[in-house]
Amino acid sequence: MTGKPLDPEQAIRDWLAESVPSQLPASLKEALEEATSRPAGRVEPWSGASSHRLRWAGRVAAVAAVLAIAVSGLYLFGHGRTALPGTSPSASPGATGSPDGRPSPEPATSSPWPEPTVVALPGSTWRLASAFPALVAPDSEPYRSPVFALASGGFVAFVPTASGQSSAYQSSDARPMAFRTEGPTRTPVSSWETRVYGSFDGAHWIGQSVLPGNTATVTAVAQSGVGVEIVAVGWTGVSPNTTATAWTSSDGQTWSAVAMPGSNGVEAVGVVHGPAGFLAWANGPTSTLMWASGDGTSWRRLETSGLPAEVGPDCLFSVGDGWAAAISGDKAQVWQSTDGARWTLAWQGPAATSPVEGYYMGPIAESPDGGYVSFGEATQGGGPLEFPSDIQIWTSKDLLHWTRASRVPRPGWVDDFTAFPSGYVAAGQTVSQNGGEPSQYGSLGVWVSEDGESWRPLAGLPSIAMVDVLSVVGDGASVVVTFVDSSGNLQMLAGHESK
Amino acid sequence: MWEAELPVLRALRGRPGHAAAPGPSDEASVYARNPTASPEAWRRQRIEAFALLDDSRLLQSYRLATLILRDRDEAEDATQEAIARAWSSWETLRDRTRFDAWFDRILANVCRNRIRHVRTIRVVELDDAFDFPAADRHAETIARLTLEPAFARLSSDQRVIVVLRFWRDLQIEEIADRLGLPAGTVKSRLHYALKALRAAIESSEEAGR
Repeated sequence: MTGKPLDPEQAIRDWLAESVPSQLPASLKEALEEATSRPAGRVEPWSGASSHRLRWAGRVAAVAAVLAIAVSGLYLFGHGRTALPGTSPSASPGATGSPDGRPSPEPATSSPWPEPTVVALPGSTWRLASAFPALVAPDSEPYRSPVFALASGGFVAFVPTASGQSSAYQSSDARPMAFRTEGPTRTPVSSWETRVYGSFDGAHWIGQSVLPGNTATVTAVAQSGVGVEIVAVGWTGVSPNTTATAWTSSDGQTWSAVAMPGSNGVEAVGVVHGPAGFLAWANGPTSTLMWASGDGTSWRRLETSGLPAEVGPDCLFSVGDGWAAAISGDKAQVWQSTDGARWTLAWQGPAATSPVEGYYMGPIAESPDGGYVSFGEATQGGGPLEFPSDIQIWTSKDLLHWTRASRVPRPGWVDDFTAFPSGYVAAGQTVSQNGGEPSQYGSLGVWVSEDGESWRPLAGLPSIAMVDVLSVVGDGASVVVTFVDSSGNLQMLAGHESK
Repeated sequence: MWEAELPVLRALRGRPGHAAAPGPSDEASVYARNPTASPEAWRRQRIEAFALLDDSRLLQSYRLATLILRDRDEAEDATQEAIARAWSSWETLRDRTRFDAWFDRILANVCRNRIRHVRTIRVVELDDAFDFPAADRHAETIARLTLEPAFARLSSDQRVIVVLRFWRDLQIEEIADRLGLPAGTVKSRLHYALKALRAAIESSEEAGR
């Protein structure tokens, strides 16, 4: 049983080559014949299979559930626009800048702003906000969460939406996306405006303005609290023709945009604020790119060293006077820097105990005891993954060094976690059984926990199927679960307590 | 000559109970994307493009889906879905010379969606022709059997990239182009996927010693 070590890449090639089927199923030729007998321009992706019919049933159920909530709604939020939380009302919605920082001449938007509606869940203090403009994602891009918590309290949402036409939301390339419909012509969306909403509680949202720059995508938000209060980063354009961009505002209504230096073809993915100012980062083709700014409006590119070249950080933190970067993988790592440029490894997690056993870090939240907790994943043993893997809880006192703590069963397919005033909230999809077979799609699942170990479903949550949970964010007082259905309809579920 | 050989072309001429060809209103929408093309030219372009989906190309697509999904029934459904989507969204293909890559991308996206939503992974059956290994291939066999659960734990995006890299032999830039992702993202995902798979292989080697 000895001999020279295996070449892993060759072993993977051999393994893949061994398991390819040798014969073409006759059904595929029939499918081709049937599909190509249809006229173009009509997306009918679900026909012909029982599982597809189940999906349509799920869609109908989802719509019915939402309608039922709306009809029996206890509360409908009023109209009007105010400033973002912590700011004063001033101008009406309007773009007031361009990516180069100059005022934009074009009007903010000519299309109507649907008024978000809010209904209370029966027997619960949680509220469901809906009727936002449908979310736009360009071809091949997944939906991104538009909702971010503000350090000063409250939330801001950057909703990309196609304006100026009736939009038929369909799926193409098997990804939810928006088609722009003008008369008989239907084309993929290649331009959109990004509308800014503010909310004090995550349930009641007020339209504020439109971000300057067409095709703006926001991926992260930080807040200084002094001078420029809000800094959002992301990019303009569609991959690969993107430019990393930062938008700044002190009131949520007037925004300025600035392109990051040396960022052509780059997408900024994160920003954090600390005593040294702002630090933004992007995953470059060969390394992690970082930019520093004192005020969020003027940025300088940093020449970084030390960080792994292969992967970028999952998240950055302000630690003391410097920064920390968490990088997940088969071994969790935390890197530390005093200046954002030179990085050193501060901590590395334990290795997997076997090929089918791994411990991963996940979303990080402040714990009630003043420390930090991360809800990661402990993979199960081999075999079919028909049920969610366990939650691996990590704890830390300083964000730099972590301890692998409890391992508990997941309540469902959890996509994200956050802290709550009285504990924690998780959201994803429920796991249900259908005649012994795992169901194709679960409903929206929201679970609450006081200790992170014992989870229970949120009371009063209606059955809303066919959803993708985009994020769970909290501002220290409220929590917002953001999700989107397969037609791109954006909804938010906001809560103020876990009981 | 090729028209007589492909079912798709027979279908385009009309079958009972099915629309024979794009109606005027549908054509109006797709012609609007390319006003210089006549309706006949547009129809011919689409026919020629889908003629590329012959048995050999369909088998390659089915194999790609099988490797990503690790389930032949799911792969069959996914390939069917990709065919329907490709035909229906033909007008979204901007560069008609890139049909092959475009269809791969649709199929990969269908597979990713299925992994994400079904979230059920079944171990694929080995081909009947698979011979049990001789003793001197014991380590290799153990490694490959270990790869199955390790691969099943990868994310849907990682799986697609691994298959395109090590089965299709595409380079990072080619995968990025096909999936519409930045090359850095592809590189990062491949890096993590390889680390996981490499760990599985190394561990199986340890166990075999």
